[in-house]
Amino acid sequence: MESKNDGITKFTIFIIAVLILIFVIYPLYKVIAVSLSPEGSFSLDEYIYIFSKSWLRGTFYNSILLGVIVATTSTIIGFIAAFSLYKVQLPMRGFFRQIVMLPIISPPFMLTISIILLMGRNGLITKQLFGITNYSIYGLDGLIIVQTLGMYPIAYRVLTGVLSRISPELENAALNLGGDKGYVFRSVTLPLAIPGLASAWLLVFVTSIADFANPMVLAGNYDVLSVQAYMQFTGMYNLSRGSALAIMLLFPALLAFVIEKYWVSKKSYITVTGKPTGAKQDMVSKKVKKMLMGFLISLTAVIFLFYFTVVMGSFFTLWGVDFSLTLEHFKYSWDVGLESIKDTLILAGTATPFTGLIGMIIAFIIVRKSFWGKNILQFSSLLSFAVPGTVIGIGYVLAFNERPFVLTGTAAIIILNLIFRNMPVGIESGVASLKQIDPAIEEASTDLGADSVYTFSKITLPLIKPAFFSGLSYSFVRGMTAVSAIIFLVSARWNHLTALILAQTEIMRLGAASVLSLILIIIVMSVFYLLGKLVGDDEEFAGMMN
Amino acid sequence: MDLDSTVSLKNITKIFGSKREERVVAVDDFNININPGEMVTLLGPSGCGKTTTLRMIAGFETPTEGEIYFGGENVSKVPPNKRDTAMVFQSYGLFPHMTVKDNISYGLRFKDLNKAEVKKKTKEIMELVGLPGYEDRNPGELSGGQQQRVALARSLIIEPKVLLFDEPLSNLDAKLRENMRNEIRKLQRKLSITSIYVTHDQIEAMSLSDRIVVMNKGKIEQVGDPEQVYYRPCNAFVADFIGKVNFIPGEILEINGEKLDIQIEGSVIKDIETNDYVKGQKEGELTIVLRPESINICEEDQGRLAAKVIRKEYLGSYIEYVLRTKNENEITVNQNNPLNKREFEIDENVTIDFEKEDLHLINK
Repeated sequence: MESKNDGITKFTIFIIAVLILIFVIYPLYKVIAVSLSPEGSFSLDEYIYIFSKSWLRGTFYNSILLGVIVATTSTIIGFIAAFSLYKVQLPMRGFFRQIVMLPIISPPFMLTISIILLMGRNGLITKQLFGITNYSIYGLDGLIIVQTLGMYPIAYRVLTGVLSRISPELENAALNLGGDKGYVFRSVTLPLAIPGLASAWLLVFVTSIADFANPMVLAGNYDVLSVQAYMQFTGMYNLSRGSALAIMLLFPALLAFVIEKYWVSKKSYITVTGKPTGAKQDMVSKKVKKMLMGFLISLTAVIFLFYFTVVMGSFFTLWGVDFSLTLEHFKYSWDVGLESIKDTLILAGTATPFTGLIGMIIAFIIVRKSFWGKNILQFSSLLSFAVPGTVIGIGYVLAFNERPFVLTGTAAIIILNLIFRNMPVGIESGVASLKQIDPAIEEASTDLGADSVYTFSKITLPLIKPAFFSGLSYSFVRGMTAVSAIIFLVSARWNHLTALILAQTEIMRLGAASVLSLILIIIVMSVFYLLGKLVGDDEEFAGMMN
Repeated sequence: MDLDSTVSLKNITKIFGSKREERVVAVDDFNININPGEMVTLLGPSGCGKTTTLRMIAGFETPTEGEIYFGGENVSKVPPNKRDTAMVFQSYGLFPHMTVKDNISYGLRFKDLNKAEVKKKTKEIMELVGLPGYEDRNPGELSGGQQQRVALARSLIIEPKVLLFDEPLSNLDAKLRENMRNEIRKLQRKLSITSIYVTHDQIEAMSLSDRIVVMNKGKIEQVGDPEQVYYRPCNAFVADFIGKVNFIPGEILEINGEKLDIQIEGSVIKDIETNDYVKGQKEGELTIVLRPESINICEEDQGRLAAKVIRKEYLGSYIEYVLRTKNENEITVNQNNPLNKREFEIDENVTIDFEKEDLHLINK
């Protein structure tokens, strides 16, 4: 239904379009432009150079290989967890559902700190337990472990959505027609979940190749694009080569995103509007049920081990050498970290309400208004979701370092980056919940005399409150834990906690890094919990997170 | 009567889709004048443009061509929130996060009223629609019929010039629908608000309306009071859309001023009154419209036309017979109050009889 847009609506659409143009499109344009003009005029030299040197070419293959492996392992773990928790009657389901989502709110390299503490040169498992000293966790193995553990919740979240919407009636019908449980799984449940599996795989793939923090610390000699782009751009100050590497990262990420968005999700058999339903009866045999339970317990144990390690790391004097308890790391962290913690809270806290509100406004105009260029606006606003942080970070430095937009070194550049990078999730959940709200409700308000601003703030916004709050909490969590773009934008005046933790990890001050990670987790979890209370339904709330 | 509340639609056309191949003409050159206090129903099958017309009156859609007048004022460019209309939606459109009281008084927020006045008006209107005691409930706690009352009260409270109904009863069950229908009509008469009512239910249209506008494919087929559209439909579409109907081919034998002599399946019926729809028609074929309840089923040798029973169905208050004439025309006949009447059997030879005044003529 199209309705005539009033002046305020037109103005809002215009402003949103301009903002997206400046803060999403323009930085991307700058990265492309710089990568294509290393000497100031158009040339492909940079790309030719990268592909002629095997050490640079290799970073591309390394990123892709890592992405493919991690996407596969994460999808498998995510599927087993989702299937166990939504299609099988297992004890303590509520507990497990919380635990398996836990890694999503930890800072991205917390798992890396843990794995170094556990399996590094002085690792608890490697050196202390088995006396192994010639094994190195740095490289592909370590990355696969930490990324899988950190990213399977993305797959899990997608797949719970899919599996919980496969009606048990279908499975019961198949059973009723004579299929045994294994056959029903193979012939009904699994085929229906295939588009979801593809979505999950692609989303994890994008996240894995875009990851910066874990490979920065843990990659060793296994060079990946995001790290190499950062090194070239910031370390060597080779702007065009850094940009070109970033574009090579952008390409597969964007491709995967477009395939997911415009092809895979169209293939889905599951209607999103369907009511999620739990299994009424087990779709597996007793033996399989025991195996699934074993799987969940192991997964929980591993997650606990990783978290517990960071807690312990905060209290031991020198991991692997001196296991006496100390508060030294807290004191040190307080000295070096207090400013950063304050900065981070200010930055994330300022960005959050804007992110949430702009997200809801964009969702509203996408769903309810019709105007020229709507599809372009929708695509561009979701774009920053697919664009790796490294690309955005480089783009912001290039775009806002010169007139007309001189922002480098300010808090504004970091806040703007957080807003436009974290907006898409708010948009997506806003769009999803708006689609379930009868347009007649808003029309009734207009019909009775309310203008569009009044209707939006008094009717629409309260009705999409859960989406609004999940957008808020998501953007706060991401604001607190962001690294890959932020690392380019921090300055002496405005530092970010993640940048500090990264620096501490690099100089192997793992005790301090653990403490700071712990502080970060505690802040994030408290905010997460509070917002969850505000919305009411914790589980649905957690389910909306990514 | 408030002459301001006349509603006029002049040459209204609405085309959806901008690209040539996607263009859909939803409403095509629609003209009507609705008098103050009148209840007019837009009736037609789904996709006929009735809801689009209503939404244009409310201001939710902009006409591609033509103008809309309230009183003498051209409101075509006035946004919906500034237009003095109130709509009762099919899905009610109640605000789920507000209480019944807040829902009903919502429209008063945009008028200059103090708290006491708002309270008083809300109380009055809740009594009017029969909802006292429900002030602090949420819409989700009400039944469908109660929700519909809230929606109605919410529209009535702002005392709009024009009240719009978009299939408001289609989500209710049959019994409740009938009750609400009567109540809406009673309230509308009492308050004498100009009302436009969209429905695809012909019974609803007939029981509620002063006038019915029958629409098809974006165009007006016929405008008239319920009796006119039922007994004097202008064409086969209107006749068929409203109620059950028999179409019997006939032939004009002779025209005597306002009277026609007609032949149906070989038997001649003299002096049938002509009408505007067949005027100007020379001798030749036309269609006779005859309602099933106007026909009597009789013994083999008693009626006007011979036929054979091919189906029958017992429907409580009447038996519906389907007969086949010797010219292979199927004719439906309702035998009312069948309990103590002669019941005819399938394959039995019968005749049918009717009053010539019940025959209505339309073009072939």
